[in-house]
Amino acid sequence: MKKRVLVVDDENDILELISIILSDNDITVYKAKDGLSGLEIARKKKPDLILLDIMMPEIDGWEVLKILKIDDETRNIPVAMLTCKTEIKDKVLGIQEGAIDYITKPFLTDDIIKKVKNLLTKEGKEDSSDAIE
Amino acid sequence: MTFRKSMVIHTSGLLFVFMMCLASLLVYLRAREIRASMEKDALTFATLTAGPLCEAYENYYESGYFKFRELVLNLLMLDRNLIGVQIYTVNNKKLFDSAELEGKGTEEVKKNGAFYKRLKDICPTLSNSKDGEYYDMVFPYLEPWGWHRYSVRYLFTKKYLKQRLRFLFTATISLSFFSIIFASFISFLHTRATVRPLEKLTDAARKMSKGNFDTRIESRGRDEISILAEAFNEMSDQVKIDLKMLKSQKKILSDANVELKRLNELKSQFLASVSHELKTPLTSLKGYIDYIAQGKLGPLTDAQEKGLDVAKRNLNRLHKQILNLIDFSSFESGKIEVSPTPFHIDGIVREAVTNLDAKLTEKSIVYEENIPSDIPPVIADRVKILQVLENLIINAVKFTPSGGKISISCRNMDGTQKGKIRICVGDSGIGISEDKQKKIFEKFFQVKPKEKHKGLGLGLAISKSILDAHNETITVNSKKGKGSNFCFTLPIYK
Repeated sequence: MKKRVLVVDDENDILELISIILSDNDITVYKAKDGLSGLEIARKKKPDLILLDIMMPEIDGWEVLKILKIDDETRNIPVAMLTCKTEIKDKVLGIQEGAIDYITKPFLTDDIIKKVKNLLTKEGKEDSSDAIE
Repeated sequence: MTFRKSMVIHTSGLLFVFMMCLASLLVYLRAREIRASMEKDALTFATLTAGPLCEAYENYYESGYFKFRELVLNLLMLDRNLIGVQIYTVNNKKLFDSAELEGKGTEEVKKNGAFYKRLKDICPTLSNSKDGEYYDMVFPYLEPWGWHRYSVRYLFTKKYLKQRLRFLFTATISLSFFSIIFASFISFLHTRATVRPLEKLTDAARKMSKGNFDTRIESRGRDEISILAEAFNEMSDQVKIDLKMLKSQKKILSDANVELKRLNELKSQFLASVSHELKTPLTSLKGYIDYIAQGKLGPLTDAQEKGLDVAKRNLNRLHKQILNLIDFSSFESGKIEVSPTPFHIDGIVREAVTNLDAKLTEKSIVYEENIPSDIPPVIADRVKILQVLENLIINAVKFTPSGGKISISCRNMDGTQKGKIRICVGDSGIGISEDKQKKIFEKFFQVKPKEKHKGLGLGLAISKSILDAHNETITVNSKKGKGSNFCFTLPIYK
């Protein structure tokens, strides 16, 4: 079954770029241009991974992450933060809030493919191990 | 002990010792004088009365005893110290003793004793009685033609002398004591008068230390304490003024600090915005160019591939410069965060060299590496140290002519597993003059700004900031025309 990734970013170009890269690698991509539509898609589609931008208008990535982690329907969806911020405290904050990884912009296409595949595999394994238990 | 107590005790003690010595001396001298006076009086008395007494004895003792008796009694009444008169022959025969007038027995005198010798002596002799209660004077009576027939013995009591001496001693000592007590009291009053202003000064100083600068000390007269009090008041006024000034300056500083914090916050927000605004288009650019260059969006011609390579290289350059600017701004704000992890230096050196391989190849630069195999791992922020190494290599490449040499060496500084590792990046480039070596770690400084070696002049400043954040140092050793050697240290992972 094809893995499904939700990308939330207010920059259309980046949204398109990630969409093309991941689609080419046999991954279904859901696109959201802001936090609210991202939350809505996350609830409806329950993707395998969410790539979430931090700096967005209206509600930013941190708020979206908090809501995702409060909501029972979306709590278990792994989230990787996607941002230009490179400071350690931002990374630490992301991990504390429940994000599982941090992808910094700008990125190389190979790097993002590797990272996303790695996260999807890791989460899949954890899910299956949970099921066995 | 307070100053007041100390002063009174010391003054009284000294006065006591002094007065006692003085009183003892006075008593001693006066007693000697009184004794000498009494002895002199006794001698005068004997000189005047010995002759008449002996003649009266010869004329009236046998024939008119009552007259003689009356005469002797009158004689005894003449001097209250005189308690007895005896008349002896020079052959030690007692002829008369005034004791017989009172019905008392007379004393027997030994013939060969010292008294016998005194009776024969033609000079008057004075001695003390055995019990020390009276003076014993023997006075010779010589006839006008020189015949020594009689000697008269006078007994003078010391009772009144002792009374006088006792009175003298008691009076002197009492006076001394009163003097000491009086002097101590005066000393107490004087000390109190001296110490009270000092106590006021102390109180005022204490009040001042609690922030009450309105305290004033009264100063009367022109003595030292008054001058001190005036100086203290002046100091208090000055401190009050200074404090007021300090408070106003503190407020200015505090306001400035608030403003600085606000500006710093604005700067941080601005940096975040700049970072976002610059990196976002860069992400799309890099992503698409990278993806297109991989042929994922259709096959490419050679010319397209070449053009994309140039675009990629310049994009990477732009990316590095943006990162440097953002990093430097963060470092300037004191926001350098390091997360130390242990790593091997050879791995990070190889990574830096691989990243910059294209630059080395482009200028046909010979690269040499001297990293001993047994070099221990270090502990530092790996990403930031990689940045330092890359900055140093980029600088070396920039200032080394084509065909030159760049070397990276590592050395365990003290050979132990607890010290530091020294990493050096050397080149055979143009070198740096001594006067410029001091400035190369300053931001925006460039060795040859107008020449072809372009850049922002931030690489070394950032490298130094990163090493400062690690509490480590970076140094340069260079000679103009003979290349440079940049070295920094990192702690060994224990």
